[in-house]
Amino acid sequence: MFVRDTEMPTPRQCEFCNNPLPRSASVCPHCGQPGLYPNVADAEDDTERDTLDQRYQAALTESATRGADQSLKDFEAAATNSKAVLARSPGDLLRLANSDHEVYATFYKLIRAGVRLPTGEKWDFRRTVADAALFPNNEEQITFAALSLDGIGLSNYGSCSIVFRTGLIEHRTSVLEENSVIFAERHGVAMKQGEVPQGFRATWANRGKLCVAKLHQSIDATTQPDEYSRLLMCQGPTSEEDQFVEAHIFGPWTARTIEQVSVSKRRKKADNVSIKWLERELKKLGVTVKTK
Amino acid sequence: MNAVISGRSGLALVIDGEKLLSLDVDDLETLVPRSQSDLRFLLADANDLVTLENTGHTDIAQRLDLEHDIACALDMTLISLDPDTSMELRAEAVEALDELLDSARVIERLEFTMFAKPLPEAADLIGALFCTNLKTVGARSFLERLEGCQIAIAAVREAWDALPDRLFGDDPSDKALFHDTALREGLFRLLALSYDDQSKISVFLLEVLKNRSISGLRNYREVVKQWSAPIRAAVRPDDSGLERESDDGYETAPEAPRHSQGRDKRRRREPADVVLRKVESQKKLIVVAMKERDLPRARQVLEELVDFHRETGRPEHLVKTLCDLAMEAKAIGNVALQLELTNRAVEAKPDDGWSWAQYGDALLNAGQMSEAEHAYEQADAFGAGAVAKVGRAEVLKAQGKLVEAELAFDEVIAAHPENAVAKTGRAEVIKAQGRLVEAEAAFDKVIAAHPEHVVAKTGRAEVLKAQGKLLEAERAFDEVIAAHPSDVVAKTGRAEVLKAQGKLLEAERAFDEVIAAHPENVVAKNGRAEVLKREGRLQEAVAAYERILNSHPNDLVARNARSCVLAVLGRYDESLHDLPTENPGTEEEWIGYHIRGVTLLRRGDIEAASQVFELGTEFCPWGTQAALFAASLALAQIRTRRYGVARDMLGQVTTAAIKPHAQVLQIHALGELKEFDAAFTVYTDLMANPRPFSDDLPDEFHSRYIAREGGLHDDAWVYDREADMFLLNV
Repeated sequence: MFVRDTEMPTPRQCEFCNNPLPRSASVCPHCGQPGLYPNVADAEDDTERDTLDQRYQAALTESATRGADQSLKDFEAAATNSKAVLARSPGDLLRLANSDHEVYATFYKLIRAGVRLPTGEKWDFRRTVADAALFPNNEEQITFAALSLDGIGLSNYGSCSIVFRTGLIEHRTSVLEENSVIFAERHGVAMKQGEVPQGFRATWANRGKLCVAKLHQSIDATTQPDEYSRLLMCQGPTSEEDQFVEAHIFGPWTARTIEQVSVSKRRKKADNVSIKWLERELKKLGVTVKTK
Repeated sequence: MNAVISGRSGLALVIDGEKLLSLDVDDLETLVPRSQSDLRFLLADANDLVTLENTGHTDIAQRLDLEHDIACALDMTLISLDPDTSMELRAEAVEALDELLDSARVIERLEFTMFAKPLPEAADLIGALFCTNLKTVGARSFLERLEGCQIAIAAVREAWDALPDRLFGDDPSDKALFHDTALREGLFRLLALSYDDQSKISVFLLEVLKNRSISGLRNYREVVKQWSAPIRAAVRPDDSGLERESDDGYETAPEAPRHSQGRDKRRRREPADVVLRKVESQKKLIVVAMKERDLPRARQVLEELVDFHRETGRPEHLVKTLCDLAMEAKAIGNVALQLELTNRAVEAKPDDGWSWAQYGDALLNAGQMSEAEHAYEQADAFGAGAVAKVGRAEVLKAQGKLVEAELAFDEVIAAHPENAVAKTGRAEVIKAQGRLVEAEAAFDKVIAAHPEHVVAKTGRAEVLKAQGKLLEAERAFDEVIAAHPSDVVAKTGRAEVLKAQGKLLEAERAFDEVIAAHPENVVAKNGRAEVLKREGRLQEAVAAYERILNSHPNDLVARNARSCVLAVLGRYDESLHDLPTENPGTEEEWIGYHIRGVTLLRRGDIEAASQVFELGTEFCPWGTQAALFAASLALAQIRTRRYGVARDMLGQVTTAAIKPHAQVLQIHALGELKEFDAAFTVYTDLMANPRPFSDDLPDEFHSRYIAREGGLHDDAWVYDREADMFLLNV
């Protein structure tokens, strides 16, 4: 009922020169002034915001009929404090932590093998549809994370959970109700035409509302705060069955963007030495490291 | 199946028909179903991809494991070279590297990368070599080879950098493509290895010609020809005089960094292997001098070594040397020297957490508790992590704050669940509190999780001994010795168990063997003197303890034991002179305080002795020691003929190590109370089990209370033997 899949987002204008600003642009092509982050601009679009608001109000009304309105408010408050979490392999994190280290950089630069992932219609079709519709021309700039209340990410993507510092990403992050590829598949026809169903995206500040709109039916008067984490992010047997709210972070990030890392002990001695080293390096940057 | 592998990510993406799967290096058995949407998260940033085609699960798993080992070997090498990393962690990295270098393919691939560019100035190769030891020869050999080839590596890199872009084609990226292929195929390494051996140039050229990856690249013949030309024409360092001392007394730095990094520094620098060998040989001299107790010589060589470090190395190298030597000093029981060396280490590098932890250990051994606590706080503040926290818990334990110590160990374990030292420490604290069954279970748990942890295994054997399970303890020590033949703690532990079983000749032989293999080991020397004590060779025992105290003046074990023997010899004043008069804190101080009580009792000062025993029964935190105080208090009751009180008190003593002593006293008390049946029951139980003393007293009581034929000796003899039982046989 909230999906107006024939409508396009309202065209943007450059705040400086008032000329039309293409949806995917992060810099005005006319005057060169920096624009908004395109993903955030899309989430801030009036129609998008209004539609989300309608879903949110409907969720509140529906929960009130079941006496679950207070529980839902509590859940919203928790979700509004959620963090963006990324799961990666410890090896990836090690490379990142070493990026401005002279000894490491010297030899890491040498091992760029230059082999690319296999491409082709079958492999890329669904991803291309999702990315083209959601992040036209700037999908390379997006880091995909998930909202989490306990700092733990989806282990299907790696045993290392990286929590971002909210202060360094909130201005450039938007959220989508679910895995963007699954979302694209669910709304296949519209997405193929580049039209994104409305009311399923939000700015960082409004992520609580989006979570309420998505999950209100799972919350009743007896739902306890310790259940929120599993409601917001539920690990499936396969990655395709994971349930979560996807966060889209525009632009680069480094080890300094990280607030906390959780990492599991591993099989090989060398891996565990690396984890110790990582712990020490990240602590220098004020990153909390938890070993499981 | 086709696969894309990233060793660094430790992951393989597998394409099996229409199915997409993944394989993780931590679980090479399980293929995890994947969706295409996962791709962007899994290998999107990987820059070390390897593709495999038409292959199977096993091959993919093996290749993933290999590629991951190669990535790990690079990481371990870089960590070992990192001067900002603690020497402790660098040593762990070297150990892990050594394991990885068991594979020739890993060595080769690691060298492909490490031989492609000279080490940057920030790399600390000397420090990495310092972290090697006799067990890590593979890593040491690799690092020495790397050091030896730096000039060649720099020359090859310089020759590569000088090649014009147009030689590779019109596209500026063609040179980068050629570079990556040459690196992947090991050409940088091959050419660097040809630098000192002209005959290998032809091997290099032949390799290029038959390598399809290279021969498929544009203009490859000309590229290789121009690249290798300067190497063929290179003037060797031996001929050039580059390493000869120049007029100002400084050597020119190897040309590698000078050319490639644009630096033109000249500094005093010796090759890492030369520095390392010199340091190692001087360390050996110092250790030999320490073992021979030639401290002036040890100090003289140490000062030379310190000066050498200051000229050639970095503070962390000096600190590593000092801490290594401090460990040697600790091993031979020279606490004062351990303290001196670690103190110098913290002065040399006041922000080094590991040095502070070592200093804390030395202070702990020296009994300087509050200073040790401070040192461990410093260690914690400078990032020593678990080792600092474990140290603080050990200080609490040594102070007799056993409940706090247990809590402190619990905290470390909560934060570092894999820390075997903390878990063993916790088990030790539980044992110290006399909760022996719980302690045994705790040790079992540590051993199950860390089967190689020898301290846990000897700890478990000690607990068995403390429970009176002497045969089991002996077997447990035998097993530890079989698995860890050089572990001196297990060997002395086994000898102690033999002694506890009354197998004194075997125990003496066992201690002699330990002393022959570890002449510096004070525990074995004390153990052997203890055997003399048990055998009644009291004058010989006193002389043995005197010798120990001459070489280890602070050894409280020897001091307490000497006091015991002196008391038995009736030299009460000499005995009491070395024993604490009040406020015991550490376990050895409480032991000494108990000996004071027994000495006073033997001298006939029953009231003063009773006060000591009451205090110990009430306040001593160590379970076994507390039981000793309780049994001794019962003995004081016997001396005042309060047999009923003594009987009841002795019934409360259940600690296995003290049980035979308590039973002897029980028979005495029950006999005097004319409870002959009960005395007989206790007597038969006593005689059915091993006991650490002769049968003189049981025989006396058998005659008095079981056979009821009257005593063989008078009461004064009985009182002395009862006291001696605590002085000679605990």
